[in-house]
Amino acid sequence: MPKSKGQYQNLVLLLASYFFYAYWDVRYLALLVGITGVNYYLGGKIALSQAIRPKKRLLFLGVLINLGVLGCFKYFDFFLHGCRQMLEVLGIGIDTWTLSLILPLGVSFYIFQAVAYLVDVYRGEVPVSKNFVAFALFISFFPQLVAGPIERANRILPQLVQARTFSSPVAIHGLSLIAYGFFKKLVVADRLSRYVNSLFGDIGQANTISLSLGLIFFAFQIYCDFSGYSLIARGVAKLFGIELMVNFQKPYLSRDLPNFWRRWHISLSTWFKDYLYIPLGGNRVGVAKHYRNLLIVFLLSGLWHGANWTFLVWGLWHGTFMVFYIAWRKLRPVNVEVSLLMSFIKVLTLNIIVGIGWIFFRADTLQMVGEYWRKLYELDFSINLAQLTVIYGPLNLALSFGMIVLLLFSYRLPDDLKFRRISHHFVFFTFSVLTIILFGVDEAATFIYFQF
Amino acid sequence: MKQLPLFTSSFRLFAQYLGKTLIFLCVVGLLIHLCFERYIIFSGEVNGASKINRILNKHDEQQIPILGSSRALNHFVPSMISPNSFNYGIDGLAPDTWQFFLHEELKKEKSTAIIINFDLDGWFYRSGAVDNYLPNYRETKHLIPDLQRSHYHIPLLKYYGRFEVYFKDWLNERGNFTRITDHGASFKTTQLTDSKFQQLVERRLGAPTEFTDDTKLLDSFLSLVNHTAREIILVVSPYHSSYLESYCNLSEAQRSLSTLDTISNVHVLDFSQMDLGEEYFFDTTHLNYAGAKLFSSTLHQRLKALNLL
Repeated sequence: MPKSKGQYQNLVLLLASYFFYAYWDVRYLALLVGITGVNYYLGGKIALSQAIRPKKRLLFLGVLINLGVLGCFKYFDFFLHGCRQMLEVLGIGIDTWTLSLILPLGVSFYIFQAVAYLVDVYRGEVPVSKNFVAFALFISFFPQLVAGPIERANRILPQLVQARTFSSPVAIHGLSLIAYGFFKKLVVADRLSRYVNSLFGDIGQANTISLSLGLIFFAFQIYCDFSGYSLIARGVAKLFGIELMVNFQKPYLSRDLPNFWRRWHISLSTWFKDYLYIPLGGNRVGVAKHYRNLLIVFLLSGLWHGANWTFLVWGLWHGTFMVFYIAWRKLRPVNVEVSLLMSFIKVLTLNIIVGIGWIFFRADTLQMVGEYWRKLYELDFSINLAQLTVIYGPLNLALSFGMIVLLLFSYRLPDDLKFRRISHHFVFFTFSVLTIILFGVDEAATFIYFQF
Repeated sequence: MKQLPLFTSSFRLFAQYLGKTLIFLCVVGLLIHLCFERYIIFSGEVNGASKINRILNKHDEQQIPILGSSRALNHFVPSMISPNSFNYGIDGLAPDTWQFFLHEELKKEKSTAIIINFDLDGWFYRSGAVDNYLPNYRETKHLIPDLQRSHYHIPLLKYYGRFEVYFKDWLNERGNFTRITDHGASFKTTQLTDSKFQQLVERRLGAPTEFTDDTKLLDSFLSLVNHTAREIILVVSPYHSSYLESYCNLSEAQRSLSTLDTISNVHVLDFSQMDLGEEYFFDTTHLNYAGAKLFSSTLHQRLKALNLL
């Protein structure tokens, strides 16, 4: 029986989270509970082990189980298909079967969260959890279960083990975050997705102008879709008195690629830094190994997003430019003070590199990427209204630009919407809700990162 | 043991904040809703929602209504047919919905004729765009049984995701950017290229269609016309040859029309094979503005000769 108010709170939230997950597919709830149980048990065993070797073996087992589950559901068919293709190139044809498993919702996120917990316990950075309910809630807390942020045990578990008191200012802040998140998703991302989906659905009909617009629109679409979800997750968590981490910090205002990755999907990039890049040696090894580490991290980061060659190439794209940047910085050290013009050029360059990379991310196949590039470099700048507006008409195009401008205006708001007065929250929240109702797109598009 | 208060003062503050916000949103939302309906949706003549509102709430004793689908909307130029006519044609409308219009029109104490564009697809059900029905949802929801949603009853929220559609119609009507409008009718000013038109002809020829005879719909139509003295004019407006060729049971359509023509107050005027060159068609389904004017002029002469105007 739960003994304290905190335990009651955790139990209610845990049951709500399981109900939320089971509503999608009750079969995979068993997987979630199973993963929770295994990691709780192994975390305890790791903490109890005094000797290094048994500790390492338990950690290895835990990581193997976690990544094995992820690999089985997410990558098995992809690797099998890849092997078959390679063998066919060598003239060996084989019959293979596939698992064709449905990807469990949020598996990429909660598995990484569990692995981080085991490693942190092994390193002694986090005390082992002796409260199963709190641990289970840490793994399956519904606002961040399906699309992050990928939280750390040392941030969340201390919040869960104590009772949380309702705070009106925190809850009001949470409502504002939720409203802003829905604005980004329904007003900006879903609006832009119309143009992007129509364009990618028929690249052959597009010209250089519409393809370039498509790139810009997709860059904003994916940013608003994902950051919108993160804001909603943080806002909902705040209503329950739990603080989740900030996952995006205006990444398109970065001046270089390393800075971009410190601001984009922060929870994932810090996960890869702490649990892959640094254990591989990070930048404290020779130059060749340093570059190798960067490429491995970005390749695996690409693969994390999906079992498709396009994601691998996307990761390679970023990894390669990261290596170029590091090498360039060694030759020409960074000038701390830069002029406004130079800052603008740097931001523009960064966005061109990232924007082109998004083609790989959005396209379904590498052939589609090739077609996109080919049409883009036809340099057909003819103005054809139907082509330019990709069947949705000039009003949709105008609204797409308008919503991007509105988004950029919203950057003038206080960081993280930390308004000084409740009245400011009131104005922001009501304005956001009315904007969502008036300009929101009702085409029931799911969040992009749900598919990962 | 000391009982904790059910609602802490912090929660009460939050509830007050939420309450004030909701009240403010309801008041402002209702104002926006009323203004939007009045100045955007109902101020136009061409959009389907304003036509449904007009047939339900406006009464013009001299008006001759023209009912039907997009073929009514794009084929009948009211100013050329009669100075008192109004085009109630709506894109995507099927017989079940224009019968609703007929039912509402016959409730009015009037003696003018009613013109109905009869499509050779016959008697069938189709809801069409839900945007047409939202402003008068209570009266029309039975026409969209598969598209009903609970939030369609809530002011402002009912239009979520659709403000743009109404606004686009309003802009088009004010600016005549890509269309010419005339007492509810709407005609595109753009023209397809020859190659695109030929593509459509090939597609039409490869997609057979048929006349459908839903007896329930036919019976309800007969019930309506038998209980009125008003003249009901069923007009089959011109068809592109490829469209006519795509019908596999045209003789059934002809038979059905002949039967309807025997009813004393029903007049069937068949212009389906009117000799019009391709230059009078926008696509294989609709006439362009020049074609609509030619057809409307011919129809006017015929109606005058039959003393139906």
